[in-house]
Amino acid sequence: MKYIIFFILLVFTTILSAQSKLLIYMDLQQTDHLKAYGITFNALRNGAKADWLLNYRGGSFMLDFTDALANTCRIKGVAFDELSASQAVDIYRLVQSEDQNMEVMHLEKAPKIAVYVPPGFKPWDDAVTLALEYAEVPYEKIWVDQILKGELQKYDWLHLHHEDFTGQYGKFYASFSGAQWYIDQQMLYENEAKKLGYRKVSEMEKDVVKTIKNYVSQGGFLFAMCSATDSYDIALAADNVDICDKMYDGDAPDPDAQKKLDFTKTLAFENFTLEMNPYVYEYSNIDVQLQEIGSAQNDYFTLFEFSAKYDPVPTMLTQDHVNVVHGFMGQTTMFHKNLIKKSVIILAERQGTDQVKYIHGNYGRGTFTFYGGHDPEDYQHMVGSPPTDLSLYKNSPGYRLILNNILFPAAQKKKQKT
Amino acid sequence: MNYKVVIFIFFVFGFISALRAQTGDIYNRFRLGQSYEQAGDYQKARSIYEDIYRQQPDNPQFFEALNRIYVQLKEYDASIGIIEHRLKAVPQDINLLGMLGATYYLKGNEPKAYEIWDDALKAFPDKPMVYRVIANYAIERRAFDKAVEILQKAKDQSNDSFSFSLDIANIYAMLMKYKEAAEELAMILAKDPTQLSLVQSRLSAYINKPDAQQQTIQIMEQWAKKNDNVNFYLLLGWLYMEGDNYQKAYDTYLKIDEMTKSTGSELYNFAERALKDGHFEEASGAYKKIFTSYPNSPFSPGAKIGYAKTLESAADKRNNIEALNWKPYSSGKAENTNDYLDVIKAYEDLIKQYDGLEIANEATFRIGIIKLDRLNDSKGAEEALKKVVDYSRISPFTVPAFSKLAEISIIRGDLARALDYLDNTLENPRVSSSDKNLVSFMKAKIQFWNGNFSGANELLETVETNFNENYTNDAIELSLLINTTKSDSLSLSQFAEADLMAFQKKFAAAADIYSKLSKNENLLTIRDLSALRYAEMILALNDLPNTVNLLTEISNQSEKNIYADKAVLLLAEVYQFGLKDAAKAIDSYEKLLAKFPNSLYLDEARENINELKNNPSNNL
Repeated sequence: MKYIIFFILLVFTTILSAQSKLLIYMDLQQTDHLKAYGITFNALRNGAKADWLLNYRGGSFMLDFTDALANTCRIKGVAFDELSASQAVDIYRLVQSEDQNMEVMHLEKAPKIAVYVPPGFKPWDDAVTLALEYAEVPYEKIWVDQILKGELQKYDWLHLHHEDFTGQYGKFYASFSGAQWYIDQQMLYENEAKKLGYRKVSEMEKDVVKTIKNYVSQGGFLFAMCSATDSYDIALAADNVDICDKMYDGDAPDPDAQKKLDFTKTLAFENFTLEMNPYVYEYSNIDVQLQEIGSAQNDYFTLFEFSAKYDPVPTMLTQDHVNVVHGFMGQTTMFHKNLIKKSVIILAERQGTDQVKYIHGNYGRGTFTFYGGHDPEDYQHMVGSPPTDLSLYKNSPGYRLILNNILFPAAQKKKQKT
Repeated sequence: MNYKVVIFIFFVFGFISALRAQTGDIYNRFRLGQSYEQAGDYQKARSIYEDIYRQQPDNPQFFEALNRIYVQLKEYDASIGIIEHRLKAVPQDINLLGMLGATYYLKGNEPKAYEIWDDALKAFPDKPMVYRVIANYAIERRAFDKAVEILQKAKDQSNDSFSFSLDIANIYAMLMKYKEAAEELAMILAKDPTQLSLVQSRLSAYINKPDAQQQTIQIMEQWAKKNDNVNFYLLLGWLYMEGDNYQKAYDTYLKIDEMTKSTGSELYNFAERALKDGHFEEASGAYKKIFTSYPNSPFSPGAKIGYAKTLESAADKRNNIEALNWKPYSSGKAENTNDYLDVIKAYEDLIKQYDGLEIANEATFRIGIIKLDRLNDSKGAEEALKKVVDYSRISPFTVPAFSKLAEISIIRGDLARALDYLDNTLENPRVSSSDKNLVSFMKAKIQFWNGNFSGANELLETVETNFNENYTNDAIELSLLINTTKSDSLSLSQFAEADLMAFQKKFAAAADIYSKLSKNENLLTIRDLSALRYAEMILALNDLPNTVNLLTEISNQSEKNIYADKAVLLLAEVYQFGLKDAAKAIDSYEKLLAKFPNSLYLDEARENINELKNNPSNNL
């Protein structure tokens, strides 16, 4: 056995010795955590390989050293170390040793990213597109017609943000029904529904959520934030029932809508109660309310620690340089724990409460991740609020959680250690 | 007899009381039904409404409540049943017909809904109100195409097409059919030219949406051609400016001027906006047209000063004045001073014409600035600026004129006079806190040049606390230099002398002193800074190859020279802006990033690298 280990180390060392390495460390020493993801992502796009050293210095990235890559890091303001082959071997040895909760994930290929947004959308209204733009990670925008035409299959990763899949236009009716942007938004969706042969927007959205669910079942990676999380599951549960009031779809909702919900169709949530009052700015009891959160100063959520070697996926999703992160609100801020399906993994929650911030689960051959809140660096983002300038939040731990999700599909699947 | 009367009266009272009690009871039940409805218990509400409706089928409140609950419960056939029943009594009730069509629409039977609405319109073909009621039912159901069809019919039938056109335009704009919306608004404008501002305000609600501008312009151009209506041109002029097409806007305003013969008022408005938005050519053309075509117009004086300002801005643009800002020191003199002769002439004409007025004072001030900053003619500048400060204490040009006069005195070496001018600035009632800080900084510099280092330091302390000012960094840097080197006052005095010469644009003389100081191995901070300043003086003298050599030498000293990172940055800028060698500029910026990871200039370097790499003309 000793000889085998020695032989493996010898081969490994020989391979590494041919090449010095570039370590993008991701602990508190890093100068720009967000751009570090972009550097790694774009290196993968250009055919390089990278290793994600889970739990090593905040989840660092190891790449082959090239002058061009080092230059890019400097230009982007990303801190790194140039390592000799033997230094790199030492790090790999440490990460892979059995007594450390660390693991090496080989990143093979940059995923192709799609972001679900309506036409005329501005990147600053969505934390994910803000992060992608800042980190210089390329993505494509898709909307209803492309999804219903089956174009999702072209992408590895789909992000949904700030969308209301229930067809109730974010339930902004009480506050904004007279606002031009609200009227325009409703017209935009109605025109799209009409163009695609639907009588109602809600009916069109139901087909959208089912198509996305099918995409996940076939191996797609779904990431949703803010209202796209609960509204997505509500739309799935309400597949066969009208839950929209007349100001949203022209007719009354089914009086027995609540009883007719089918929770077997949802991805993450079950047994929730709909908020049917059209004047109340909430879809259901999934979302945690403002008064439950209390003071913004005390709003922190804690990332769970997983076994890097046995649970690499949740470990990847929770890589961060801190494990307690300041909370942030959104149309959907957090989820009540008792309404989350047992099969779903909780990645982050407010300790001592039933408030869950970040969850992950599998469906078919794919996965879904839901992250509550709108903008990790704008505690209470309001309609019309100015965009967040991420150059002022280069080390945002909340934004890092978003970017973990874009690299996670690049990871080479390993045989599960049992 | 009496007995019968008593019984009769008793009977009548009893009947009335019973009737009142029954009526009261039915309304109580109605209210109970409403409460159930509000609480969302629609089944109980329906049961009560059905009951009271059976008792009083002609009661409109009960009918509406029952119909509402049927629709809420999606019991559309029941809704149709009670509406049709009621229609038997009043077959031409337009609201009932609208309601019936709406229920059919909700039921998903759109053809039947449209048939009912169309029949209702046929019954009252000449009543505009009926069209509007039915159109509102269609809009309520968000059947916008049908609503437009109905409103179009109403418009054709009615003498007052204005309000219908406005409604139709709104619906088209919502549907993003901008051409059709523009057609309707154009019709309004053609019929009633006084509605220009209304049309413009409607357009401004959506004109910046994708395609809206282009489609609206296309329609308005067609209408302008076939109508001799100036309002179409005014609208077009505004649309062109919104689309940043100032050339077309200018042509349009010339046409408007021709049509209105308004002594240039519309042209003047155009020129002001064009100048504000940096479209000097069009602004200058418009101003010139005003004062040449309408010399007696009230807009003529404003047009003349505006014209001169556009000439000045255009001359600056031609001489690339803004691009010279990358150099720490430069003569500031325009490459082609002849470009400014026309500008000065234009200002002088103004002074002659409006002697003694504020407009002439402003023109004099502009001449002073041009002579000082563009022509290096300090004598001419002084002459002009003195007239400005003598004109009025409260003119907005007095404070900046005093500052410029102080600058001229410094250039001439008359530091005492410069201090006087700076004190005059402080005494002026219009002096701002920012002006006061600048004065403090300039006074500190004068103390420094005079060798009074402690006096300079005292004044610098007040400036250093104002972080909003651009020159705070300069104040901190100067303070640091004084504090670290004041023990060697001789060398510091020499440095101060060179610094004054640099200010006076005596770059060659300053270069000599800096060169000597940079070679003195016994000095530390002064030596390093002098080496950099020497390179900056050579750069100011436009000797780019030597500048490159000097800066390369400093940058190679790395940690040994505390200004090495600044030298690398400047070297990169020389390549980028001076020698136009993008590849070498990028190399230098990258060197800064690699060798000086803690430099203050990293962000600037990164920004410039991105700019160079993203510029396709660099062929990188």
